[in-house]
Amino acid sequence: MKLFPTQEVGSLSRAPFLKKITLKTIEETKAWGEKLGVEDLDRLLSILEKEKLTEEDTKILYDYASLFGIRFFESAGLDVVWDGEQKRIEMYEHPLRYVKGFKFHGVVKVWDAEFYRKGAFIDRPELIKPYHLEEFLFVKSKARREVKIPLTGAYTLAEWSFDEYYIKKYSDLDDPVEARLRAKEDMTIDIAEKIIRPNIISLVEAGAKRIQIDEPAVTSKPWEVPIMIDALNRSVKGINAKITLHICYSDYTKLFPHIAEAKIHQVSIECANRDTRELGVNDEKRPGYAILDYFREYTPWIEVATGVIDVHTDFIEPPELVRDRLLYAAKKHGDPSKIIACNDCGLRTRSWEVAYRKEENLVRGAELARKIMS
Amino acid sequence: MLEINGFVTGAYPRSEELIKAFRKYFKKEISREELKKKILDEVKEIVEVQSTAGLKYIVDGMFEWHDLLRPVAENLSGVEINGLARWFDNNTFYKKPIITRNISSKDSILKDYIYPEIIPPGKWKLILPDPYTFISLSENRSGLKLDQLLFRYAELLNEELVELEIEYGIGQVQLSAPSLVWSKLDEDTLYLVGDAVEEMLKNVKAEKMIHFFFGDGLNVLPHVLEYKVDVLGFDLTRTNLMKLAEYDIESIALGIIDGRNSLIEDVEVVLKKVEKYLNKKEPRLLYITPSCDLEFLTPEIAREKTILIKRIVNALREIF
Repeated sequence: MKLFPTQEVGSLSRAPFLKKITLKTIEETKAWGEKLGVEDLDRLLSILEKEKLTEEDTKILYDYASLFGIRFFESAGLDVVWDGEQKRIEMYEHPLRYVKGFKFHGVVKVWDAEFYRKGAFIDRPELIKPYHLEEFLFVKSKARREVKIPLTGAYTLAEWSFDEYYIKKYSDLDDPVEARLRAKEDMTIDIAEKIIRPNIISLVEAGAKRIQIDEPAVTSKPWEVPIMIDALNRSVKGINAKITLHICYSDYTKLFPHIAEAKIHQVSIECANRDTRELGVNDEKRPGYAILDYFREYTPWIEVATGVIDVHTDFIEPPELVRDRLLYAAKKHGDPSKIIACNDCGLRTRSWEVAYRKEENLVRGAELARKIMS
Repeated sequence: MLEINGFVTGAYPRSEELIKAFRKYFKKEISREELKKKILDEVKEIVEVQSTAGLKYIVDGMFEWHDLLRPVAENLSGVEINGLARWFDNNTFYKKPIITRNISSKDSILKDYIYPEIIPPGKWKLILPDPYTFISLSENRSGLKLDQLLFRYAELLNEELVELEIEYGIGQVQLSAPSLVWSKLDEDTLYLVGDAVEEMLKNVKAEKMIHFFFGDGLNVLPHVLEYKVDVLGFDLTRTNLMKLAEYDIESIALGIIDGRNSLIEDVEVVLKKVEKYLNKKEPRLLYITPSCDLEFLTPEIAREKTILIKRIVNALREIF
């Protein structure tokens, strides 16, 4: 088996032509299309030159955006790809648009002038229709590499929402902490069984072999980690696919020991963001990978997709830095076959130029590490 | 005779329009004056909502405050602002202050963040982080010890409070103290903080309150009964009210309206809980409040919850 296979995490910023169409964006589209080897580029360019786009044109543009995303990662040389989530709004609002029993209330602040549109579960949720199926079928039909589809996990959807239904059941309890915990558990399990699981089943029936469940919210309430694990296990029970759990910008120590109960094959974590940029394979140079001690100790059977690319900076990691991060991660974990070369998180906040150079070096760095290990 | 009143315990949410105005201001697409006009409109509206709800004290909405620590962090010498850190267990983040050397006051700390002139005289409620919350949520690179920083912070903020009281008159000062209850602190620290709180509030004539939220209020009891404050406030989404009834608290603020959930509480359910408490305890002063800031909600729901305070207070007054 190939050591240090490379994969991405999910998002990429919008394809140039999904922004305002100007002469500049048309030129950018042409340049990227040629660089990435996107097929039928002339058809896309002719649509972009139209004065007014029809609904059908817009649909075609989104298909092209997905195709650009796939070719972006393939052309950079990654082993496992996705389309950069070109057809999604974001990870919270998009899925909940397809859920009955949920109501959007309005925007709430995340920090300063950043916000998201938040809503409440007002009843037990019901899935209107699997919301990633069409997107997956398109990617599957175009991709030349293995595909991994990301979807937001039940716990994060619950944690980022208000609860106007479940908490009522426990209003008689004197202990407010227990009331909230029980309500949260009920809500998260319902979301897992009624929303996430049917989505996963539809994807696997359509041929998905790799599913990534994103749970960025999980360590914000460390005492609720067992709820996330239970919901995750219910989401994937009996599913025949490789399951990745992606968690970023978190205190990973809070996952232990509970994560050992998770029915997953791989965990994807952010490490580069907390590492130094100096070369070296010792503890001092590689503080970002200290958490691998825990994975070696508690879950040696789980693959760790370690972030060796920081997605929150334009710094382009040289291949040698990627190499050293992977070699150190392998040494720390003890089983190099369990280390996957990955980004910290999605690349949504980086320009395509920066993201592409980062991905090229991810692939080059993994090759360098492989050579040394062989 | 039991006196029952209500007020809020923190910031109100910015409207979508105001958030966008802040974005434009950051991008230099609008001027400070244009932004301030929009803020002022929202201040006036939220003051009106609280007045209509008959709240005893009124906040200006704290729309200028990006987070609880920022106005102080931005206006103390020896403090820099760093990257984002999670605000307790919320999907909300604050910018971490870095204390690089002994702190001192640049000028007025709060003048660009407050709108007391919009609030009827004597009713203005001013909210500040308590010394421990500010210092413990900052990164200390100054080489100074915790006690030195706590007291320096307390002295500087005390000067500010006394000046603001002279200039505008303050109805109530609330120290927001989530860090004191987020985890259980040792006895020595709690006593040390008590002294720093006393220093921060000395010579302040307004009603003095300390509000414990995002954690279990039992973590600080009985020690805080000795704090030199008039009112102790608790987050009843994290604290068992019946266990709180084991302590004698003369003036208590019950944070029984969930500031982090959109469900509008059933008045009957709330009354039942408060009645159960009042059957065990007889405080002199009882305040009905949200558990924490209302900024985690949408503006519409925050307004509804403000009106809810009035409904609960009125219902309780009828019973007691």
